[in-house]
Amino acid sequence: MNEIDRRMFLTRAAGGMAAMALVPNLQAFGGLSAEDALRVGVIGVGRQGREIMGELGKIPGVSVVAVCDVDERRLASGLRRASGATGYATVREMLDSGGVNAVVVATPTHTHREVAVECLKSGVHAYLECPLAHTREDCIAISDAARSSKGVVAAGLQGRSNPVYQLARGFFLSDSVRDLVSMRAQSNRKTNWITPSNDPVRKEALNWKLDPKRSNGLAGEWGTQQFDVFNWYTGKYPTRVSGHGGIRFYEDGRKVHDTISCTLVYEDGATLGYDATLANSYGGKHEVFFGSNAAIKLGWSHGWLFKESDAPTQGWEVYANRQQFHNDEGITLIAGATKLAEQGKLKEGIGLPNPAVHYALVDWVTAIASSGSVACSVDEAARATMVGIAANDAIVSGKSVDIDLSGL
Amino acid sequence: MHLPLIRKPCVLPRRENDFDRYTPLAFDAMGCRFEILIDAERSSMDRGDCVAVCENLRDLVLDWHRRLSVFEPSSLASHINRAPANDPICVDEDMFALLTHCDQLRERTGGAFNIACGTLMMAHGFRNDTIEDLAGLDLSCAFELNRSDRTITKTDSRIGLDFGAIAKGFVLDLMRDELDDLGIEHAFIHGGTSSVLGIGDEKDGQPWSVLIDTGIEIRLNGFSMGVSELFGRSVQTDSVTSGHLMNPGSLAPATSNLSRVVCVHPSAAIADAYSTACSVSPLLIDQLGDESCTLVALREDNEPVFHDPLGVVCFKS
Repeated sequence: MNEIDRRMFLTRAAGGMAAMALVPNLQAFGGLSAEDALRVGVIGVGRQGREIMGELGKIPGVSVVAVCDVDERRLASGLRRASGATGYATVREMLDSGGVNAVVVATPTHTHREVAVECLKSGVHAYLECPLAHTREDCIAISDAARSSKGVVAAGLQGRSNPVYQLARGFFLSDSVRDLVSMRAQSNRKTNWITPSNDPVRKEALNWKLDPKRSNGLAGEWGTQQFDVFNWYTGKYPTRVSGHGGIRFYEDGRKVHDTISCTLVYEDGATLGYDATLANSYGGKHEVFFGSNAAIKLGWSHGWLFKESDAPTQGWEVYANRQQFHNDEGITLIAGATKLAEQGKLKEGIGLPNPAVHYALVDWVTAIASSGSVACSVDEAARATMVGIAANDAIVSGKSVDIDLSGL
Repeated sequence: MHLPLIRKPCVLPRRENDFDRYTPLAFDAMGCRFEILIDAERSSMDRGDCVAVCENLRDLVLDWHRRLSVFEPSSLASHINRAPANDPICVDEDMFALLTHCDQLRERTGGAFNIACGTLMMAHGFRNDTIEDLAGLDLSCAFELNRSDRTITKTDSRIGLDFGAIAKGFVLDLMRDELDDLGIEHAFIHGGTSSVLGIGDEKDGQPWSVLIDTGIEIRLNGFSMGVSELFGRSVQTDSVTSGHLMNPGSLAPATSNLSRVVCVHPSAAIADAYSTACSVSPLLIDQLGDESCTLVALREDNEPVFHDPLGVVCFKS
């Protein structure tokens, strides 16, 4: 083998290891046949719903044929994003029209139960945005409805479909971090979380996230997606949570904390520290697994492996792409590394080309087309949501709260 | 890279007491820095809502950035650019409206403004991807739009769209519509200082104004301004320096004796498109100048040529 061939072999082998866990996700989705074409109704077309519509539009064989929202302005805005779609003010009208065989539920969290159960009873395929619901009881009700549904039901915990997260999980499960000693996550974004409107009634409806009766705060609304990453990687669920929070920046009379911190404890004594704030964006949203050999940091579109100096070196590391963070050097975990290496674009492919929700939707559509299993079941979403609800309860009450995942 | 044209590149409050009056927000999108300033004191909304309005406008811009950027592989623009010839691509209503508007502006400018110039950007070294062969390429019929099924069909696989000459103005128009809906009457927004929108006035009836390098002040109460420079960006190949504005007719980088063109128009998208078109084809200055459009062109010797029916140009000593 000459030098160039050897290099190419090693580069491919490096990518090969990285890509093993990615194969299902990166296989080109061939689309659905005309008779199986997915006619999707998107329920709830706020910002998240409209982003979902955009991503659905990229998937072959999928058409958004209906849009549903109780808010007239949002409905009009959603309709502009869907060629030829019909608008509905109620879910019942949309389902009764018979025009849809699949739905995406992207309404405010506290309305998920009513909307999701109605859709699941009708037997259409369903993609349910997460957090799954506002209360434990609602989570259980949706899970029960999903179990008896005739359609393929997926929950939108996006880490499970994210190619970077799938790749990093392969490293995690193959003992790259060795002994897991602790976990940490944060979600920082500078935003006042207000949806503006000069109509007081509309403003009240749109700003549910700032109403403690309708919102589980930062831990519930933002934390749930991240708590699930730890559930998925470790195969364990935290059993207890304590925390605190406060209104540290937005002195506008709000009741929902703008800054929180909590600690989730696992049965074996491991802990997950979680912080979130609306007042600062430093570090954004990420999760970290700390082990005796390495740490894995995940940032939704990017991932890195930070190795300890005494950790064994793998052959492929010689060709791996690296990034410097102050005193630490991270090996970038690159999705689709094999393909990129073949194209000589390994260094360009550090981040994901699509937003995380794209991969979750592709997984759902693929599961429908292949009658396969979904990347994230409703039961898993219910568990992660219950963790988020418990975390919010602990933060609001200032007391340690046992996490009860029973009833599913 | 030339310095920004405007002498007030930062609209964030300049005096300490302005912080009580305005809600400023700055962010990066579409390859430049956007700045938004809302006069909260003269708004019917409280300050928190005005901050939220700014954040919503930012999200709107970022949303369109993700759709229009040719540097984002997942964008709708990149999706269209990857499509082969004669393969209809279905797009949403908003995107179709933008494409239709661009096509109308192409016709109105005699082809000088053309979003299919992305092909030429690739051919002349402004992109990572390159096109070697432009033979037989006709950008006057680069794509077909079909209203009935909202599709765009490229007529040649080499065609690449580039919204750089209109995207910032387009989102400024959307932002103005949002602000209108919310009843906000006094605000100032710019994208990279080359696309500028003034709504209402700055204070006490004084118009929002920007100063051009040569001492020309443009007053923008209710108007938008687009600025185009032949060498705003450039590449050097051998001994030749080429500016980033392309001539869709000659398929080559544009050349003229105008260093900058400023267009003021009620629509920011049109202001952007016209300023580009006039830079590419200076004869358009006489043709496009009507009662709704002010055009100021600066020659290489900095002598201005202007047509100002809007009465927004003011010379400062």
